[in-house]
Amino acid sequence: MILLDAGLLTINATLVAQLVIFLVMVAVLWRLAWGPLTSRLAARQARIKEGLEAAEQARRDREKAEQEYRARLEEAAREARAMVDQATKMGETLRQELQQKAKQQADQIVAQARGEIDSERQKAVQELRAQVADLAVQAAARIIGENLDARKHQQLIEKTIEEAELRA
Amino acid sequence: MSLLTAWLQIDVTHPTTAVAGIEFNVDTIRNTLIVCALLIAFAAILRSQLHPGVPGPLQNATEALFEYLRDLTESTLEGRGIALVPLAISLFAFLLIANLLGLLPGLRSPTNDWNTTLGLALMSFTLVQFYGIKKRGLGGYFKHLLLQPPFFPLTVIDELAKIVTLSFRLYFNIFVGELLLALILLLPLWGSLVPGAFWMAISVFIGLVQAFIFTVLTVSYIAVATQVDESHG
Repeated sequence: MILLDAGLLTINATLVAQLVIFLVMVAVLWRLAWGPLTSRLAARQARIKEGLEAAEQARRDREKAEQEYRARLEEAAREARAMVDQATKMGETLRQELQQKAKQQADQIVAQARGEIDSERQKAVQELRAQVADLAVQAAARIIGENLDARKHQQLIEKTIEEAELRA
Repeated sequence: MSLLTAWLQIDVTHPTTAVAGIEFNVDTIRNTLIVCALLIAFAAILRSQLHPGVPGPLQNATEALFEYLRDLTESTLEGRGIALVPLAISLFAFLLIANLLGLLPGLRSPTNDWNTTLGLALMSFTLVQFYGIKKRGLGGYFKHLLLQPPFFPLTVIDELAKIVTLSFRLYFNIFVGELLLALILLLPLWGSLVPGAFWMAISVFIGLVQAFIFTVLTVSYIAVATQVDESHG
C-alpha cells in the first residue's frame, strides 16, 4: 500500500484534501452546533432583555401607582379639611342665627310684659281715680250738708285731680 | 543511546499513497478524519443537549468558549460587516483537537504535517486578499499593496511571509512537541514517566496556544487588510 514516504516539507495533494475536509467540516459544524447555539443564545438574550424591560416597566408602574396613591391621599385630606371648615362655618352661622332669634324673642317678651304692666297700671289708676272721686263727693256732701249737682260735681273733682297730678 | 541514534529510530515522514497518480499522506488524512469525527460527534451531543432555558454543563462550557471567541472576532472586525465567526470558531476547534490528537498513542496530529498547516495558511491568505479587495476595491487594493516605493517589495514579501509564518509556526510547534515526546518515550519507563507527563502537560498548553494564535492571527490579518485609513483611502 505504501509507495513512498513524504518528507518534512513535502507538499502534495494532501494540502487540497485537508482544505476541502476542513471547509466541509466548517459547514457541518455550523449547521449542527454553532448555528443552533447562536440562535439559542440570541433567544436567551432576548428573553433576558424582555425580563429586564418587564421589571423596569413594573418598577415604573409601581412608582406611578405610588404617586397616584399619594395624590389621592392629599386630595382626600384636602377635601376633609374643606368639609371641616365648611361645617365650622355652618355651626358658627347657626349659632349666630339662634342667638339673634333668642334675643328677638326675649325683646318681644320684655316688650309684651311692659305693655301689660302699663295697661294694668292705667286700669289701676282709672279705678283709683273713680274711687277717689266718689269719696270726695261723699265727703263734700257731708261737709256742705247738701247734695251738689252730681254731674257738675264730678267735673269739678276730676279737674281737681288733674291739677293735683300736674302738681305732683 | 545518543540523541542522534534515537532520532534515527523515529519515523518523521508520512506514509503516502497515490490515487490516479496524485499523492496523499495517508496518516494525515486519516487523523484529520478522526478529528472531524470527534468534532461532529461532540456537535451532535451538544445539539441533543441544547436547552432553550437553563443550559447544562456541556452547553454552558461550550457557550462560554463560543461567546469568548465570537466577541473577540466581532470586536476585532468591528464595523466591517464581515461574518467570520463560523469560520473562526470552527478553525479554533479543529486546530485544538488536531493539535492534541498526537498526544494519544499511535496517532499523529494532522497539524504535524506541513500540508495541513500550509493549506490553512493559504486559506487565511486567500481570505485576507479577498476581503482586502472587497473592502478597498481592486484599484485601492493594488494602490495599497504596490504603489508605495520604496516599500513595495516589502509589502509583497510581508503578505507572502504571512503564509510561511502562519504555517511554519503551527507545524513546527506541533512537530517538535511530538518529536520530543517520542524521544522521551524511548527512555526506560522509570526515566520517561516524569518528563513524559511534564511534556504532555506542556504539549496540551502549546496545542491550545497555537490553535488560538492561528485563529486570532487570521482574524487580525483580515482586520488589518480591511482597515481603510486616511493615507491610503
